[in-house]
Amino acid sequence: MVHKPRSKSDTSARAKELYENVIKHQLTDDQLGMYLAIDVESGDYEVGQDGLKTAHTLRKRRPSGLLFGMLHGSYTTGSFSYAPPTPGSWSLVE
Amino acid sequence: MVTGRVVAHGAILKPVAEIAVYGRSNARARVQAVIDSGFTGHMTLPINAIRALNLTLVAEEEMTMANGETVVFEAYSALADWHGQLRPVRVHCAEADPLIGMEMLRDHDLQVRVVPDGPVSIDPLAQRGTRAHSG
Repeated sequence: MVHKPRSKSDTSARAKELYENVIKHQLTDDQLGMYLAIDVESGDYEVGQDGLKTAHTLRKRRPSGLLFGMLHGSYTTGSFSYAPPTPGSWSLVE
Repeated sequence: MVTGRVVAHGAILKPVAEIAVYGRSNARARVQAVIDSGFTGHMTLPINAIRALNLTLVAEEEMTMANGETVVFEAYSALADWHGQLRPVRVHCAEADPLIGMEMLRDHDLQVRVVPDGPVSIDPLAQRGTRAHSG
């Protein structure tokens, strides 16, 4: 299979579309936070606790797939020195 | 135990540890990696190192940067020599000093003496026979 050139933003946009329209409705709440590998070409996906194992499992099934990794419930898999703002994480001392 | 030292670049101090990373066909790189508790993943490597090791692309992934922006990174599969054993790691491609992140440090005791040339040590908790403080 020959891939059409696809930019990184195209890949993530297609993956998010698949997730929002199809995949998240097939997953359960107890899978929230688990790693989700999506083949943006076929729409096939795999979910699991371990990112590497999950992606490898999907890769075996879709050897020429174009994989995007995310978490169920979060488009991002991690961060560089970013902590989401938490209410009450700071307060003025009088 | 994985050890290292605090490297000083002028006023900037970086805790650095050396680990070996293996790619395909037994390609091996010795990596001086900055220990970054703000990075949630296993490791980062620059693209030249990833190509030299012939690492396998796992997936593209979005990561959140310090300013809240999200950026798409390529994640690769590698093996790292970690306390004398080869460990599968996810390597994000980033054009910067290699990083060791929190996923790599899970269930370890990290000690850094934050002075130039200060010692750095990373101990697995089980090996030391210690437990995390429960409060």
